[in-house]
Amino acid sequence: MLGISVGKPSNPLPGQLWLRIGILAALTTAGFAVLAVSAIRGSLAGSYSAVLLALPVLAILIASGLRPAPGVGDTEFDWIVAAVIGATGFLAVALLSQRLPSIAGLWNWSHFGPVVWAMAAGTVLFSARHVLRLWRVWLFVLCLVPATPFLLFTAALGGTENSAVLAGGVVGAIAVYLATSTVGLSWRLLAAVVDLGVATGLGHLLGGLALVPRMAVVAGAVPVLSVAAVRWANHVRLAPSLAAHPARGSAGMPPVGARSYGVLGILAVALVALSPPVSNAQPQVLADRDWIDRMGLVPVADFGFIRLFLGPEASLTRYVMPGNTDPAVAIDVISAPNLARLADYSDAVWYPSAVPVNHRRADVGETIGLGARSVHSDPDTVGGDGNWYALSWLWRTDPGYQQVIVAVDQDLSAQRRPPIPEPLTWTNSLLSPMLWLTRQQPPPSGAAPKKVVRTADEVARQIIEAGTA
Amino acid sequence: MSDVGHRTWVLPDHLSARTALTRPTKTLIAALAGIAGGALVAFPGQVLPVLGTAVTLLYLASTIDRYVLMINGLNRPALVRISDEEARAIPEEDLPFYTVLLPVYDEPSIIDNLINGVGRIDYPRDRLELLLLVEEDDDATRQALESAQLRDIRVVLVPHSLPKTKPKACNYGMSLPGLRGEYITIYDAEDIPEPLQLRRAVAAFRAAPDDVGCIQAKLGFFNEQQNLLTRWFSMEYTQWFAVVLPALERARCVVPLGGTSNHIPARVWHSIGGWDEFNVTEDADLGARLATHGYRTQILDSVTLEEANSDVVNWIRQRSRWYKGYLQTMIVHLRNPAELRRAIGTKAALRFVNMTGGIPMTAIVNLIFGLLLVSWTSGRPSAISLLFPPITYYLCLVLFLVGTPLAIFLSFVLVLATGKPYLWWSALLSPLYWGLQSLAAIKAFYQLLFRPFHWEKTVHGLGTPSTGGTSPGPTG
Repeated sequence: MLGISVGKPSNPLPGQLWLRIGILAALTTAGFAVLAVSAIRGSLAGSYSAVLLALPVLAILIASGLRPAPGVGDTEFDWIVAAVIGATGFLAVALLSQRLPSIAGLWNWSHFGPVVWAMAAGTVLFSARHVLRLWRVWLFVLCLVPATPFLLFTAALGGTENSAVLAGGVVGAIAVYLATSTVGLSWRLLAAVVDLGVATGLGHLLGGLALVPRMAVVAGAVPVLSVAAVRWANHVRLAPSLAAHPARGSAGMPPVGARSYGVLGILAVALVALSPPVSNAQPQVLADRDWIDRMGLVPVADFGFIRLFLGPEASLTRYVMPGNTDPAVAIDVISAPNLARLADYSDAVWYPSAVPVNHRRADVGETIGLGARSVHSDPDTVGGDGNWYALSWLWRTDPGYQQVIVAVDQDLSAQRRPPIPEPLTWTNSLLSPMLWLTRQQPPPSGAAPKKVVRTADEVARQIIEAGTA
Repeated sequence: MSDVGHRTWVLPDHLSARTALTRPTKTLIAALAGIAGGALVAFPGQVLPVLGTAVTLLYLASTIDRYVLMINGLNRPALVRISDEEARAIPEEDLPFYTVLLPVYDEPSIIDNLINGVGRIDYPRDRLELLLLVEEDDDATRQALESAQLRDIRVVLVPHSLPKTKPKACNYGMSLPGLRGEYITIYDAEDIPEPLQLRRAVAAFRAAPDDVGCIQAKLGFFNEQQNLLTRWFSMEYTQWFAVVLPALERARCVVPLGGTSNHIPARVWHSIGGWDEFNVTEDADLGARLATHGYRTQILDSVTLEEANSDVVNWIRQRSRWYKGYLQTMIVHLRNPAELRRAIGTKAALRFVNMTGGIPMTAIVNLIFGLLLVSWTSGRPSAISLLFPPITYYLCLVLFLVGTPLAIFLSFVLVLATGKPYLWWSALLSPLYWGLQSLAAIKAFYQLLFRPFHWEKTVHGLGTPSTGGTSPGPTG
């Protein structure tokens, strides 16, 4: 049975501690290799979420600054807590992702998997007491690992690469503050401020480099050096031992047998096997850059907010078809030179909706591998600005990429344009859907009117024809 | 279990947890679980609603019964009260010999504890037999005792044998030749009994009907305000000893005894067979055996202060042992349900199940229902809607929306009624405590299957008397 044993906890040498940290890192990386590769690939391709690469370093940095927790240890209890954390965490992520797939995609809920796994495996390797004592590490990681909070923060700072670097510096400064909990408050605040200042300066000086090395410096190297300097100045050991507390019955690292390592290894392999394959982000269809002119589309609005999310070179333009259509149709085109940044928001819904909405596969362009998806607000739910139906896909143009959205208003009698796109906020992309979820509303079941769907399909076919002719 | 080297007082198989879960029984359980699992997969539409409804009804019945006991206990206190004057009025020459068992293991601070605890008992020394039961391999305690001058305390070395349990040591102590005690009781090493407790117990026995076979003193904590856990623990103990156990006694039901401070006439102890060495809550088992032999247990308004567990993991270990022992006790006495019913009656038999094995079972159900709630809120899986057909669903809704606040409210009333208003905020947070109970219950079930006789030693010395607590006198 799982190598469970209850015995006196061992009093580890620092080498054993680092060995177990290494084992945990290896188990987590192995279990979520697909996700890790995807994150690395996205970061190298220019995604603003490059801060994810520094996250493991910052987590270990914060953990290394916490004092060991005195108290009694129990290996059986550790396994029980690990099982409860693992079962509850994975179950909640799976169920939520199944119910709200678009929000799960936008907020990268799959990224919670490695954290849940690290907590559960860490409970076995370091004991429940120590893992729960690291709550501020887990909170820090859980806030950053979905990447979207960081992306929204970057957007709030201006949406440029410099904004992302500055946001990375802020994250590093927070990590420095959390990692220096063994020294006085004034030292901690000073260290965090100095770290932020140095990181900002270096980030500016390294402006010519790509985002990843700049992020590695401001959110990785500078925080590590800042923490090392504070600890050196305060004579604090870099890695606190989990050695037994002087109190009786105190817990060091729990004994972990070969069977326990075996079980963790098997679970890591199972996680790899269960990992969904990473979709090929590269769009298959190359569209003619003149398709808009060829169709005679008329630009009616430009939404500058998109540059906060996708970078200063991006644009979101609304076009309408020449003449009147019944129902009214708008074609919103998001253009960006960087696919990774576009992919960061591929599950975003830019139109208002009273209830959370989910993307579905659409048949349009299936023969050419367009990968079109539809999404619509619920006609059975009263929406403030009316209900809409949107058909979207991503294709390459020369140069850059475009996300084309054919938006149709569902009200066949009103003859009004679909609602205008809105910037993503914490409220419309997370808080409202979560509140809807807690109200236990039934899932939206109303289908868009057939005429609306037919109209969107027809317009989409015309666009595809114009783009691929 | 081959190393039963020094046989002390082994009960017959049918009364002992030694054979509670034998290999054939485990095989049968596994087979039944397999059949149930198979039926679940083959006929989910039929099995899931039946399962959900059955569990809900049992849970509801268990909850209602506990609420009834608590309300009865609050409305009609049934504690036996002996005033200081009555206790002191018994002339010394009229006091019977008293045997006090002090089982210890790994207690290096034993001397201080004894001085602060049983050393203050107000009872003639020439009528008191204090037996300090030290395990042969307990070097820490033996070392502490080497330099001590222990007057009036007889140190008894318990030879190594399995199972290594407290009742085994106590049975060994009771098997020594020449014991003169007319009454016996047990204290843990760190216990601080109210000084007049033995005198009160004697007076209570003398005033009690002949069928009273045990007087259980209340247990309290000297460090109840140390942290949130000790507050929860104290609230629970107060509820148990001041309200639930007296209500059980008044209803003529089985009173599961506390681990210490239960006072029993030696003749009664001998007649019911002593402690079951293989049961890790030998106290609860003894309470059940007292009842099946026709004896009643009264609750004495005299407090023994103990150390409340202030460490979560340590608490889990202790609580898992209690839950495992409750399960053992239930299994042992349900071997022949008809005989149990004949001996104590239908109501008492059902309530016995609820107050022993029912406690860890409902703790597990709490966790399962909690997970189901999270699952339903997160993703509305269809299996959950199958588990809860309409009536079951509304029952569960009532349990959740009414039962939970009611339990908190009752705890709140209880802390006020028992003069501990400072525990009000721990009463409000008690659902978190239920979560800990669920984790302990999982461990208990695991150990029941794989390490049934393992005695999960509670580490003492993590609390201090300076962190607030009840005074060790009658609560009045």
